[in-house]
Amino acid sequence: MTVAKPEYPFGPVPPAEALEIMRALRNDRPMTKVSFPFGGECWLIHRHDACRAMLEDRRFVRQPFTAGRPVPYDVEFPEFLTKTLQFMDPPDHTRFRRLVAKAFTMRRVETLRGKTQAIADELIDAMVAAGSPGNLVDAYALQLPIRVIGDMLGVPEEGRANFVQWSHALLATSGMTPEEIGESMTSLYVYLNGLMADKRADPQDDLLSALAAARDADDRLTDAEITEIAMLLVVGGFDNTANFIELGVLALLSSPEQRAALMADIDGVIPTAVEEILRHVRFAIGGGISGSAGLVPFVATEDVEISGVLIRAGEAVAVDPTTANHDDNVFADADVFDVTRSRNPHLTLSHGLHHCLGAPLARMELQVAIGTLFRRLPGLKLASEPVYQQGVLTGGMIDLPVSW
Amino acid sequence: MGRARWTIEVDRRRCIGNQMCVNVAGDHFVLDQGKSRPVANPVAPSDDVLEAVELCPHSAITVRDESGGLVEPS
Repeated sequence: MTVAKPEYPFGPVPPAEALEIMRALRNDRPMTKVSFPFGGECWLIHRHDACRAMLEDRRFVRQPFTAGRPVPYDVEFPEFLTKTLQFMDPPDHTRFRRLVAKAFTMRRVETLRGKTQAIADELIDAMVAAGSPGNLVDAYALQLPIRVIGDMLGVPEEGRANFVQWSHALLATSGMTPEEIGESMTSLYVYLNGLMADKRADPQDDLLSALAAARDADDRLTDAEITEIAMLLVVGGFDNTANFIELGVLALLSSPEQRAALMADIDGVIPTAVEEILRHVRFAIGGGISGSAGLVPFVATEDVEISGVLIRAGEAVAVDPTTANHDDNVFADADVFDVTRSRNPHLTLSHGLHHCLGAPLARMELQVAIGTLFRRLPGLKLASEPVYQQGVLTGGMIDLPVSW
Repeated sequence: MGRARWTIEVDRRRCIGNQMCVNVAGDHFVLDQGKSRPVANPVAPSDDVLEAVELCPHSAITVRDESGGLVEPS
């Protein structure tokens, strides 16, 4: 099949058709100017090399969105996020990121692997005790990252019970009134603020204590700023990880050959399997694929030429990771779900300055969660159709019914 | 360690171009084709360099003393 004049946005269309459209797009042009229902026009970059060039170029900034310019996106972008680290530029970005970055480095995260393994085993023991079938979302996919980030932050058990509700309100794109969102935001703010006051009085070996201490050591930081970072760590700290556990498990259940390749050597294959899930999971599951908004946009501070296209000062520009993650110039057999893929520089977690702060943690959690599930429950299968979450920026599932 | 000299190494296979090192220790690290490299070697001991080591998301930076011994990560 050939696509004569590939249009963007496109879909939803079946994965095979989406792959053809994306190939035609990359061949035709490096980027497309899209007009979004919110925030107006934005360039979406389709080619991998052009995405990287933009993400490495500091002439693209995010400050205008913090200052109130609406984010070009196909849903209304949650306002909370526009005030966080993800929307800052250096030097503010550096000042805030350095407060928490130490906790999320590869080296530090590796020290948490054993504990994460114990959590995974404990959750599977509980699933087995409760009996088959079960909802993998509630029993496992959400619980594992919530317990890991809860331990890291130093949030006691009772505080974690509200994490999902709070986060989904802060990431809501529809279905909630501004009052409902405000109420959840205030509850989370008040809760974390109180917790940090406790930790200031009685410091523990956790991230909230470290943040409270950082506030005391640096007069430029306000209590509100510190609490907002803690909020971001809660909201960003488990939701996307849970989603990729759910999607990754579903993809493996839908791909017998790839599942067999994983089962042949779980410890050896799980690192590349997780990268391939991050790159390609929605295609491996089937269902409709759309090309639309990508990663969080930037704004050009001056005229910049990328791959021969002039992006004018003041124009918004974003990465289309779905198309870039299938670029034939970078990925061999790009259309194929291959859990042993060796070269896989996907852009799902972005690249450069705003590369996902939690990436090493998320990778470790995904490796432990998915690897352990298939090792412990080798007969795992889908019990009925999954139910997806609506109206939340990060998506995810409400129910993933599995039996074993 | 008054006249001690350090050698900075960046593992460019691990580097993801996140620029934390460039931003906290701009005298010592520069972005080159999307990845970090040391500006010069050897260098005088520096707290900024130590912070860069500590902050690097992919733990790609190491610092050695004159005898080749590891200064950071310790």
